[in-house]
Amino acid sequence: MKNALYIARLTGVLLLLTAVVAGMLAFVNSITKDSIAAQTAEKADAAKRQVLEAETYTALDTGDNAAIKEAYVADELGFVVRVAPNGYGGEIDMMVGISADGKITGVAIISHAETASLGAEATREDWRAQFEGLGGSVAVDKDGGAIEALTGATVTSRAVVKGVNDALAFVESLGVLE
Amino acid sequence: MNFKKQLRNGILTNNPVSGQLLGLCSTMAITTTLFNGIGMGLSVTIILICSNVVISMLRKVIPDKIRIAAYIVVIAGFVTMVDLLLQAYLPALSENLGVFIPLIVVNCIILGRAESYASKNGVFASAVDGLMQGVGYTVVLVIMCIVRELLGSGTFGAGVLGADGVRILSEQYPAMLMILPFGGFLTLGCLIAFTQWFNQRLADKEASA
Repeated sequence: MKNALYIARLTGVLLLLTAVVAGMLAFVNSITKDSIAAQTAEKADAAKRQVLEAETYTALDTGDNAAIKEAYVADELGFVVRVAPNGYGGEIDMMVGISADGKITGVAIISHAETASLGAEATREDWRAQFEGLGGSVAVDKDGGAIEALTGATVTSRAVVKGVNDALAFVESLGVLE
Repeated sequence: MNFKKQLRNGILTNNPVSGQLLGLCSTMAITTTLFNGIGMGLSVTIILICSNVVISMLRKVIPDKIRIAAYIVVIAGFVTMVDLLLQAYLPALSENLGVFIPLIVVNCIILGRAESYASKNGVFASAVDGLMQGVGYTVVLVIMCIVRELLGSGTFGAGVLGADGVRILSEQYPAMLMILPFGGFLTLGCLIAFTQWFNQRLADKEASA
């Protein structure tokens, strides 16, 4: 009987503590939720405009293509595709702009968890600019392509390339390229 | 309670990183730019103070058998709060530190202080201990960041003084290996050796005085 009481006490204390912490977390979540959501939306929006500036973006149905997170038709100009390839430190959330004739207009990275000073250099504008104007399918120099891989971050470079290729393939599959 | 002794403990003799060798994973991973070092150091300090205070308050309520589980619940709670607040109000920092903020939950420094200090001492003393240990951690991070950033990228204060910091070494000199984990171990090894040498000298001086 004494033992049962002790176990009940252990359970009670832990339960109470967990409940209090959960309550506090719910409170913090409720005050930060909107701000976080707004920031993510704003960043995605800015990325869209950065890769292909257009008046309106109309969402496209991406079907069951797991590689494509979102896709938009950017007026008459082309397409904006959001992909999230797996990099060195997790998903690289990025936006790829593709013109109506199937050429890359820009690549923007929304969020990533790559190593600072190595993979994180993929966010540098001069590196991302290499993609502009390319079409069909791209590859890093090590794989015989035209993209110069980041020093010490081949995994990241290949991941970004894969994301870009996924986006290109998706737009190609729509069958509306000029 | 000896304020000065606690400060000396935190920074030199019992520094969480160079003395107790705790929290090395985050130390190795994030000390590549000054911005990251300061951000991580401050986040850990805040969490350390909060968790030390709460655990010290609850030290008589929490039964011994479930103390580790209870500490982890408290620590995880604070870490998640800091993570959410950073995401909401300091997105740049949250982006850079990435997964290392949630991982503070399992950073041994915090559980270590809860177990070895906060569970045995009063609330105020525990808060001071949290602050001093946090300052010690931050100091080590900042030193490592400055050394690794200078030798690895050739800049100073990236993220703090402008996005790319101030360039000190021209582009061709910096050694990439200092940014890699290898460079982290190298820097940390030298730093620990120096701290130990300094502590030894201090102790010798006190013994002869």
